[in-house]
Amino acid sequence: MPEKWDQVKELFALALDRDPEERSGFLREACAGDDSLRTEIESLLSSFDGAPTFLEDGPVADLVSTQSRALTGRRIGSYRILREIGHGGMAVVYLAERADDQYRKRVAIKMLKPGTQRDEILRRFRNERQVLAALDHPSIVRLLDGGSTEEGLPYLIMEYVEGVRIDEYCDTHRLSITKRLQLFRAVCLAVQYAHEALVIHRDLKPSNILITEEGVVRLLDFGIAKVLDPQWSPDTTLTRTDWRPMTPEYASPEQLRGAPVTKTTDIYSLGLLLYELLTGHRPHRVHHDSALESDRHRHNQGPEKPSVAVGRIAEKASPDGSTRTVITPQLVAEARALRPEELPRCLRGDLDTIVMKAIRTELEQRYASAEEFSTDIERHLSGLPIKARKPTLLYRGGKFVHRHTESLATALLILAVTAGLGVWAARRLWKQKNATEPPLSTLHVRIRPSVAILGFKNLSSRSDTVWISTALSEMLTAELAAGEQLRTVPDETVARTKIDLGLSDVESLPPDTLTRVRKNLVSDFIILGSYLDLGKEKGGQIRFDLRLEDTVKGETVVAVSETGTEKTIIDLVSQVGARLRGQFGLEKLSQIESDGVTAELPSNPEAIRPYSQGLAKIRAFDALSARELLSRAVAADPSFPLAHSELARTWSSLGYDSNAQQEAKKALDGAGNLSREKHLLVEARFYETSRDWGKAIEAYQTLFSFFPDNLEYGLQLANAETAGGRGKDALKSLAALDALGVQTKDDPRIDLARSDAAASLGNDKLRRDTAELAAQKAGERGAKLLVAHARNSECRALANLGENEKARSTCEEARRIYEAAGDRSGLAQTLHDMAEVPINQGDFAAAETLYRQALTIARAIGNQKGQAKELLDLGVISVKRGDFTTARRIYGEAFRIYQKAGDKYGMASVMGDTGILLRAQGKLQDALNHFQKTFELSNELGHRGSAAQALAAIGDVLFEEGNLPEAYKMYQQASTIEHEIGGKNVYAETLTQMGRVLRQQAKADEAQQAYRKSLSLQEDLGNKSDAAETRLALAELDCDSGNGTEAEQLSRAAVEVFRADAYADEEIFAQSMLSRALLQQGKVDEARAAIAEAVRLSEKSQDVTVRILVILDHAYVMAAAKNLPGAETTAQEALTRARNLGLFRLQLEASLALSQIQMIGPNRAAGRARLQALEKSARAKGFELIARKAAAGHGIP
Amino acid sequence: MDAPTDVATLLGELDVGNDKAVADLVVSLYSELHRLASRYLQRERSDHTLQTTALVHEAYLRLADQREVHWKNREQFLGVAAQLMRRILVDYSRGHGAKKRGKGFKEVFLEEAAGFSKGKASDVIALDEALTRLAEFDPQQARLVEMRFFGGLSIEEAAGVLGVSPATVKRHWNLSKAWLARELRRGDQKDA
Repeated sequence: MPEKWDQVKELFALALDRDPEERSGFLREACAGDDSLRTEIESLLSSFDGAPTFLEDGPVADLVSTQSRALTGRRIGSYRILREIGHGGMAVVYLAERADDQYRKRVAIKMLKPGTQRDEILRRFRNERQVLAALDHPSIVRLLDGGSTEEGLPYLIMEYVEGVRIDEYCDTHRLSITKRLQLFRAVCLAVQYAHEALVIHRDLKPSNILITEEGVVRLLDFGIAKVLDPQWSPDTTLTRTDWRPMTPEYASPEQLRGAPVTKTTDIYSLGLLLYELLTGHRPHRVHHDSALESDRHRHNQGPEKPSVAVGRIAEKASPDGSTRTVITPQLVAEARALRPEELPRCLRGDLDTIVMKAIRTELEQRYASAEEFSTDIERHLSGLPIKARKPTLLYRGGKFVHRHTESLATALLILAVTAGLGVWAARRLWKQKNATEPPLSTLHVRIRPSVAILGFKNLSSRSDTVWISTALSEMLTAELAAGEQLRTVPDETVARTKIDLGLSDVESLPPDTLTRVRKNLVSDFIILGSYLDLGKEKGGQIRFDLRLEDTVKGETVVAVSETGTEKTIIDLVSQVGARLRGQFGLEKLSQIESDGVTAELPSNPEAIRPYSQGLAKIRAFDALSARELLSRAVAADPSFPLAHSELARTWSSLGYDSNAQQEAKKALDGAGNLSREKHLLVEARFYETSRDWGKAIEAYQTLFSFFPDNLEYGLQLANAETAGGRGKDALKSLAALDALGVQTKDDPRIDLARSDAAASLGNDKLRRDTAELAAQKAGERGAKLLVAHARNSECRALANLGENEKARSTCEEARRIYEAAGDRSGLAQTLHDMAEVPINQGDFAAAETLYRQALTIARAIGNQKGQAKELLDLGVISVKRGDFTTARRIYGEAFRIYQKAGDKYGMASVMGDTGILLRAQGKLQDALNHFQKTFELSNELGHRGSAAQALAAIGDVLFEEGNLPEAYKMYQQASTIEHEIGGKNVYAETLTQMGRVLRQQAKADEAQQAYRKSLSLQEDLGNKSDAAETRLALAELDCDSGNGTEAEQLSRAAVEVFRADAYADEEIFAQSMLSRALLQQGKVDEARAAIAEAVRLSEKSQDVTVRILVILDHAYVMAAAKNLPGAETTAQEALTRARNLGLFRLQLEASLALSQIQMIGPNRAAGRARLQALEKSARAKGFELIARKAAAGHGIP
Repeated sequence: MDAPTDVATLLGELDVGNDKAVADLVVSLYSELHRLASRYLQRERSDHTLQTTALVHEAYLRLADQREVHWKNREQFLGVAAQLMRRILVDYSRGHGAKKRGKGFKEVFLEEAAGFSKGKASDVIALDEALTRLAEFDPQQARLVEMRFFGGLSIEEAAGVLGVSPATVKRHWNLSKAWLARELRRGDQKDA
């Protein structure tokens, strides 16, 4: 009743205020005879009473209600919330005070808004807590505690700071440029402190930097961004543009790109801060179209220099967004106590250069540390020349190598000049030089002296004390690594090298062996020696002798002897460690450092023995025994993180992902006291076992950015990138490793990692070449296991490239080495790879034998996933043989193993393979479901490559279902991903598939372009069978355009390739195509021969698509041979089959064949009617090519 | 429904004056939320239930995210947020990009978004249409419902935005609820 609405409004409210029983009396009176008004209001009242909760809970009600109003006055822990003092996208900040305290300590509580990531944030917070709480610096606001409320909302409790944002402070106090710079340096120092503690801020901006009344700088939220990072999402890799960093205005280009964050990210933010403090403007005006666009914008134009920016007139919002002011050069200068013309002059030169260097897009051209940044400002303030130089041509080209050589050359020069003083003195001198003066090079990699502990010889005849050698090495490594002044070669690398070089524990080494050790381990020093355990009868006494050898000079630096007991072995080692540290000129360990060392050792001697024995077993390739021993170590000292970590790796190598993950989690949970380096390593491994590659990559990236002289971290980074389906990034990281220095350049592990990356990209040529290079380099330095590993990779690449004989001999070489070394897991891998050769040659029985042998080994060594892998390939063989029943059974078995092991990637592979099988059987819907699962799993894992393949497979199903636009979209998405990650083979394949869609849409030219592009890629890659498939697709186009001769040639070539590689179904398809090409030229007899061969072969095939196609082409051949009734029946059969299975595309093709055959026989009328109907239904679904053929209205030629 | 037109209408209602930045922001947020929603759709192609609640939450958080930096004032934010939320919910209830197979998006959506199906289940489209009718003769009440229901504002906040007393808001709210509940029930009866 809108017309009396005002009355309704008033009376309704008045009536509602009354008791229900009074209402009707009230209304009768108030409406004064207007019955319709009264009824209306009564109706509304009853409607109101009937729906008490209606509209009260909106879709976002719970979000908003948890903000300010609900929490004020509440108790969180022992604090009571006073009021809200700020809010951001993820969290609300409250002021709270201690409820039970006399002096009413005030804190700030950051409370997360409810969202979908609560558990993840809590978990991350628990991981970070110790690290963050350990940040103890007067300028860094302390994190006091954290937890979650009853409702499960995570919160962080921090010191409460009363202060003003740094930019406001500077302006209101009209601080001069010099004062601003000094204040800024204080910020740098705090950031430097945190960086040394391996904490990155990630979200530095003026609102996070407060200045107290006393003028003290206080930085808020250090490391919190990592905990709150909205980037977390199970499928970040596909939807990078869907999230934004917390504050886009202050985010670095790499954050906007979604690339890993390192300490140089903070340098960038510091640069932005300084820019703003100096100029009053931000360097970039961020447009909100898309995060990527603003990134591009920065790339292309680059920001104005500060001295130019101060001339701007711009509007700026106040920090709280409530008011807008216009900033003029006049205002900016006044706030800096200068005249407008003075300011640009003051900024030009040094300050422009310093600021611009900090905000470079390219990470490696920024200041390497906050300290360096701050020092350059100091130099400017004291009138010294600054170290930042304008980028030269050399830099602009991004020539990493040149920069590195420059820094190395500098280091070498210093060494050469001081050679007379001896290496020790030179090193110390260099160190001092570094302390006072940053290096000349802008990118400075600190190459630390490195030391490897080679192990200790057991002098007694007792074999039960062998573990002591491992224990001593581990403990001593921890002692020497503390303080990060020395780079220690991991004991595992040492152990592998010892196997490679055939070294046993010895007391001393001849000079030539020393040189080889040096080359293989890249170590400047080695430690070796002996121990004598006198046994219980002598009171458990141990005597311990060791020598420190300088591998460069080939002389002994020092010899140390200590005596102790098994029980006091930990003290014994720390005494030896202290003496060695003194020898290296290292400072005494600080309390934190020595706590770190303690945390790297088991807390009781009962755990040391099984832990050390377990480590030795891992190195002797005996994972089963290692698991046994490490489990004992863990039981003896459950709080020792490294035993958990090693046990996790053992589970992992045995193929039990979920167990591995549990242990890795325990390791991470207990890692709080470890040194930063070890902590990060444990963290990286945790992500690795969880297959959270994005985070693993980030962790390794951080490790590598803090320890750029550590090749191991670089390699692990690349391996994680490869495993995470980012082969292209891995290749980049490896290129950076090459440039690291002369001594690492020849390391075969780099080439091997490159070959793995190439494998993940499907680039078999690169894989072959790099693997060969790795094998060669490894051979030169006698690293046998590396040779075997490289040969395996090479063998697989060769097999993929069809070089069967060479592949076989390469695999044989690997096999011999693994057998000799007793590395059964390596041996299983070789057998597995070797099977590719007989498969290529169509000898499935031989391949099956090899897979079965590998399977037997996997069972013997207890490797779950290894077993599943072999089963999977046995299944593929069954498919190739056409035995789908067996294949499905085997796939099922493999899937169960993967599921039990918690290996999602394995599960995704089986899902995908099963989908292929189902599609071949014509079960499109089932196949689609499987591919979708594959896609989801891959996404969850962040494995883009396998996600892309799943998309392409979904496209195939949609294509057969007749949904051309959607199929095309899927292919497009898949090809975009593959293009990004550099997966050339799949990229080419999707191009061909897109071409097929285009052909059906009668876009022959575009289809041809796609095919040609694909073909040239496949030829480059040496991918013969893929190329043959694309050739067949081209042949089909030729048939369409009546070019039978060309089509014949292409088809014949394809037949040859498929036959040679025993690709049965593909060969059928090629024969069938050949018959079409021959028919086109009127060569009916030859066509009959070709189709007869296709029919014969197809009897064994279980792929319904292939069979229907053959039947179709058979019908055409029959018709051409004037057997019209036979042709019609055959075409009808193809049509029925296609229709029954819902294969829409084939249904159209079959319908076309049938009607064209009918058109030349007695059933012309039926043929014509069919053609008309066909034209309509084909056109409706976008099958333009078929529609046109139908519209042409003639029978077959 | 054509997205740009929607946004244009929205902006027309917004009284943004010459504030181009906010206008740009709304357009980009709108398309971002669309992308987000279709991502949820894509991910849930098979048997899984749709995470509409998560979508709505994320949409809201994204809006809230912009608050500190860009909004002239809290009122402006709340107004835009409520209207955007309404727009998005309605669009997706209309089966924008409904799934090809099986259950339609709308069905799943309504099952999942438990928030407003408590008690007498109503559906977003009917509510939207009824709101549009209400706006024809009482735009202020319609706006109030939009802010309370779609924007999650409290009575006090709504009072602040509309510039009236909380008591007035409360009165209007009661009437709007009564009127809308009746409208929706009538719609149901017609359908049945």
